[in-house]
Amino acid sequence: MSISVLPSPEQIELRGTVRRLLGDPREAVDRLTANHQAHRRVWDALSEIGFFGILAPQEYGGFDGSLADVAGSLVELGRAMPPIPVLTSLLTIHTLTHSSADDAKARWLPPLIQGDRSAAVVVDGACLSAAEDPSSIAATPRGDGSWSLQGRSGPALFAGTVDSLLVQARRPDGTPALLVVDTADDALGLSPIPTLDGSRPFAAVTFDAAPAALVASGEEAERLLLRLGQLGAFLLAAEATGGADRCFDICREFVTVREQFGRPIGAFQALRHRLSDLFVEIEASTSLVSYGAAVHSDDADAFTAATLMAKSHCVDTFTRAADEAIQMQGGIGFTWENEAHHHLKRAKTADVLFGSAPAHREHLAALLLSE
Amino acid sequence: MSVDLGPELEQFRQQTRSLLEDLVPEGLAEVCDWYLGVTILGGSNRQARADGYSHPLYAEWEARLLEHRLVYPQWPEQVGGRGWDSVRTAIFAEEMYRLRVPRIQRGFGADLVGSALLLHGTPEQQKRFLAPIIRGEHQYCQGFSEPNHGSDLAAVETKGVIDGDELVVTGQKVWTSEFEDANMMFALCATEPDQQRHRRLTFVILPFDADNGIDIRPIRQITGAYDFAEDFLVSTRAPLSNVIGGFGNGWKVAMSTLDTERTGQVLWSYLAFEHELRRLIGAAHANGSAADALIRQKLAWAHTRTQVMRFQAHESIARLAAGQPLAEHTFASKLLWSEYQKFLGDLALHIAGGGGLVRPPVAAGAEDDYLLDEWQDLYLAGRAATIFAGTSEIQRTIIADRVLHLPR
Repeated sequence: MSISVLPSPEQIELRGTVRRLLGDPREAVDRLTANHQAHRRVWDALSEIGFFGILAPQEYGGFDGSLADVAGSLVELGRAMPPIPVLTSLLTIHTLTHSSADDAKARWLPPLIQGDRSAAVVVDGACLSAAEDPSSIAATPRGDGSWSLQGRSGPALFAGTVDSLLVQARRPDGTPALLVVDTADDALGLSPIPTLDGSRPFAAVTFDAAPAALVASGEEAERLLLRLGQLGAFLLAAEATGGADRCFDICREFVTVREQFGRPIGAFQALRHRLSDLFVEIEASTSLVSYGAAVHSDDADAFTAATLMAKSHCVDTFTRAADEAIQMQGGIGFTWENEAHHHLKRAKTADVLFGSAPAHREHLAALLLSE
Repeated sequence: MSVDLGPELEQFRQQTRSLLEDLVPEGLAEVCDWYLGVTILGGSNRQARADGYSHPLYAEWEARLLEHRLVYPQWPEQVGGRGWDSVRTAIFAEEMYRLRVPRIQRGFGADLVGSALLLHGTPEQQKRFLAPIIRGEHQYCQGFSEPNHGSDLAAVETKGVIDGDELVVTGQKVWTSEFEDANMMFALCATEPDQQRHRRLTFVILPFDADNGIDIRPIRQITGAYDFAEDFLVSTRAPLSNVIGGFGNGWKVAMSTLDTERTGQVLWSYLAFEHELRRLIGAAHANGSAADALIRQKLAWAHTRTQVMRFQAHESIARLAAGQPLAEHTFASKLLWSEYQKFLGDLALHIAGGGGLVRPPVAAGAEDDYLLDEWQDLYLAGRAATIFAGTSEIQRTIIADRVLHLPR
């Protein structure tokens, strides 16, 4: 089997378009505190170019594209950090697409693909639950084919800012189930939970006999949850790569302009060498994301390994880059007004979501040692 | 999993594969592990391979490859190669590895002097110098570093003075690897002392033996081996026609050879790193250290590193095949692999544990009283990787200057 390792002209163009519509990264902090309308505009711009349909089937209005088509755009999202639920909507669309729940697909996919609706995933990997207080959501069938959800989740990524939720729950027999719900329903309670990262709002969700549509149960649900977790980890790795690159640019710009002791501080060897080392790591991140995107559609095992490598490396690198962005800027790097701390907090959050770096490396070691 | 390079190169790959399958003598791959210990300059695990090189199957293989112009196929046809571009050369290397058979290499110096000649030599010089390398008659060592000039190569002091139709070279070189087998040296000497830094030097090819005023003093390395030397050049002579690229142009010639490394071995060296790691994983299994959580973390990190090298090599090959310029990460490849190698040497001894520090026994009366096993050798020899061919510090400075354009 052979893979294509260079981006196509169309992929390059899409990435460039997304980069432009996300706006200048230097204005990202202003955008974070901007009103809802500003965020809506970015979301609508993505919808207009059909972004949410790229990974979706034509049958529901999508374009049957590949992960390689969108990977570059995810990197750009990480660079510009708009506080919009792109990642979780893509995960929901992808999961629904690969399920066998035709009714649920017919109802929920088209508006998500158009960007008319947005989604978050209330699944373990996307929740910042305390170990002693995990999500606990029970799914019970009603007589008429629909289901009812009862319980509460931990803080779930973007859960409070979307209109649809893909929920991981337990059936009466203890086996897993995946369901979709409309957040407008009164039976749902959404409580915003403050977390370290201000660019990605989290909310805990309570379900009180909330009506839900079944997407999958039992073995199928397990499979889909595994896939979802994997893709979630990969998309986070792509975002982390963009975030790291942005932090690198922050450092590079600053050390070029800031003068001390009669010269730009970027002339001092210690900083030059640290930036060279960081360059090596970010190039490695880029390579791992490209590799994962290239093998995704053809080789599930290769994609599993690629995700384990990408998630662990790219998030570690993002953390390192964010640390440098603060350190190299000195005192002002430590201010709220400065962009750097947002990236630090995003990196920490990315580290926790969908499996930490050590957990991924342990999984990779198990694969390597089993051959 | 291979990279899609289009139908023409796929056909080339299939043809190469068939040809090699026909040519490989049966049993060659089993003579020794040809790919373990080749990642470090000079190599670790050399004894095992030395035995392999003197095996009759290796001689048979060498003869067949010579006959088919497959010893340095990237060199021009008129010198005994096939004029292959770097992509075809990389495919050839991949196919050789697939069969686990060795490429015929005439020392590390061959690649460097080859690049110099191909970029700056005349066709006559190419024929005169490259053909004997392919035939195995000439083996080169590098005369660049001096005791007072290592990283700052532009300031070398070895002098070259014209005397009739010869250049007379006097000075001292150091760290000449593979000096034992070398009968030729390519050297940088100062022939234009009044010129500016980068115009003082000339690149010249010198016959390397005692008859030509060369006094070699081997230096022992931390591995116990005497794998490099200092060389005193006392009126060492070469015809003026051995000057490559013209007088005063030596710096440019030397620098361009370093640049070609980005399209050379780095395109396939990831195969050797993957091979080495698989061996190390086997060792971890064998002694039970594979159950240790920290060792598992490090093995996973190492594997990730080899896959970065793999992908970056494939990406470079794809770019070259598509006529696109190389990506910036190619400036970082030496830094990446050499630092990785040091890490791996550390990990190898971590895995080996206390018993891993016990050296192999030496036969009574043996010349070499400091034998090492493959992992001990890697651990020690790896310390050189971040020093030779441009120290890690120089690599970081090159990246800062040429890629990041940071203030100076």
